Amino acid sequence: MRVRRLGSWPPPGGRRLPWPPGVRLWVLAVALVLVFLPALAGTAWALDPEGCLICHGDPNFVDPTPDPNGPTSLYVNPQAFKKSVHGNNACSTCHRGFVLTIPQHQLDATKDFRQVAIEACESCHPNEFMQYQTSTHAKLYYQDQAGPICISCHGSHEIRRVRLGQESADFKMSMARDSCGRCHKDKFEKAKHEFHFKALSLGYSPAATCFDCHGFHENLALKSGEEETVRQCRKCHPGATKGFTYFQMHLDEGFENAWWGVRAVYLFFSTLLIVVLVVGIAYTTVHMQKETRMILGVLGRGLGRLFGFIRALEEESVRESMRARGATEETGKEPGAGGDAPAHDDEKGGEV
Amino acid sequence: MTMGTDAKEGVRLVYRRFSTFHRFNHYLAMLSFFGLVLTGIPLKFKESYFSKLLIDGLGGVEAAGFIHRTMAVINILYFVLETGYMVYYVAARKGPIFGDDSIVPGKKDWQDMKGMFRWFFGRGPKPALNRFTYWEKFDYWALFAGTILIGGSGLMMWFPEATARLLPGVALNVALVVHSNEAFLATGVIFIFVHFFSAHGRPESFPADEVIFSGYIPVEHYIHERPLEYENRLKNGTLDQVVTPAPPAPRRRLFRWITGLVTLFAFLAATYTLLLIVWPLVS
Repeated sequence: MRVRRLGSWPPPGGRRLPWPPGVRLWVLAVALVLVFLPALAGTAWALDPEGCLICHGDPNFVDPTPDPNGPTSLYVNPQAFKKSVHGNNACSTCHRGFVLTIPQHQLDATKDFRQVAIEACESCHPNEFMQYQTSTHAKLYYQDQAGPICISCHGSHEIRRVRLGQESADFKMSMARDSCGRCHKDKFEKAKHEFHFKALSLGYSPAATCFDCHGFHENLALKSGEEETVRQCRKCHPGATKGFTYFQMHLDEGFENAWWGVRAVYLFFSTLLIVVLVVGIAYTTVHMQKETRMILGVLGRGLGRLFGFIRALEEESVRESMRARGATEETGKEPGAGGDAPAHDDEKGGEV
Repeated sequence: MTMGTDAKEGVRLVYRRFSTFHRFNHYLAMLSFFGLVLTGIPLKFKESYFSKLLIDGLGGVEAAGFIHRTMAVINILYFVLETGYMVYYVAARKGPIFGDDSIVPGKKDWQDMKGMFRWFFGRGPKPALNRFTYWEKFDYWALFAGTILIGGSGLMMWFPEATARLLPGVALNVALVVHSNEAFLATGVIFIFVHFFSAHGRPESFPADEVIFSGYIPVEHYIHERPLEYENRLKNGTLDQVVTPAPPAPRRRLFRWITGLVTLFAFLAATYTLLLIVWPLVS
């Protein structure tokens, strides 16, 4: 029944709407609010129900505490945060333990902020936290607080959304460069010339980047010949053996840190390359200039012959006319005995 | 009698220089070489804009890798054919291994080279060249050695797990160094100067020597290009073995078309490779 009524809406026959005028006004008001509220809320309320971005959304917002190193920015980019994987979380999901007072928050002074940050991540990502606990990064952090914590690699407000195992080649490359490579610059610079990275930089996304071998949170050291290394290699190379792990990954461009055999082969072939190319280019240049001169010579002779032919034709026509005229005057002098000069003389003689 | 025509029948004569087997091998070598270089060099110059352009154009790294491996199989095929022919030639005593008719370098090549250098600098006449010149022998044996090195190291990297079962993993590092350097050298030798110039770019044959595509050249061209072989054959009466009437016109036209198209492609490929290499240096 209801379906049929909906189907014939608006009611035929010019009937008035079934609602009294006061209700209509309410409907209009509610509709207006429903239309405009998301727009309003989208920029302020839904993104920031706690109102943090009123101050922290201002690009010029800095820590007012005097600091000899200059003021620390307290700005959070609202758009970038909204786009991040945590864009739908409230600020207080991660920033816990703050007592909101204005103008300044009171921090829990008994705890280092890094510990607070780790705990904030741990509350939602306990497995990753456990992996991190076993890592060299964590060991360094707990020793003297110098090692990296979650946010050192992941960043904070702009963590990207990725599907594990489906990362793009660009993403893998930028992780290696900007995340791992920020501290391990030397390793990245070396790995850049390595086979997997060549494929990555040309857009082959299955190729391994740092974390595919070293793990996301365990950051395994992976020494050649160890069982753990074999296991990691086997993720992509199922037939990998212990010998397979003796492949050298992080070599510099001149192979100075490689096994001496690799460096020797590299030096031999580089020398060969240079010698052959230099000798080859020199030989070809010498050969080419000889042949080119020959081409120019042939061309020159051809042109010379062509112009000579035109000239000969002209001379011939002059001789023709001379002969025609000379037949009536005198018959003793025949042109054509010499080259250019006699023909010329004849012409003059005719004029005189 | 005009040169290059049979006195009795008045037909054009040609000198048959390469058999179908050798031309077939050159076609395979050419095809696989272009395919391998165009899909391989971008890996060496991975940061060049043109590398990404070509790899994307071919359909990504996986497609390029597939082409590279297919071409590698073709390359290995012609290598096996050529080596098999060599073994057969020697074992069945098809002809002399050394001497005038042979591809094996000899004392004459050294003298020819000295003679050519004298000629380059205007200190003597151009030496009378034999069936195979020293630069042709260099091309042939350099390609032969290069194929062993590049093919061997390439197979090692194609099957890394099998390689690592026989050798330590560091052998793969060595393979990469050999493959990359030797392939770049081969590209330089073939594309940039030696082969494209000495075989196809000399004024006698510019822009391409049709002989490797069709198998024959006009007799007058042959007498000019290989005077010594002509003399020898004239003396020992074997000229009839190599001089035959020219094939019919449609066949000649077909080979002229093939040569033209291949030349155009080769020119584009060489230009592209140069661009790719030069780009990182200038940008």
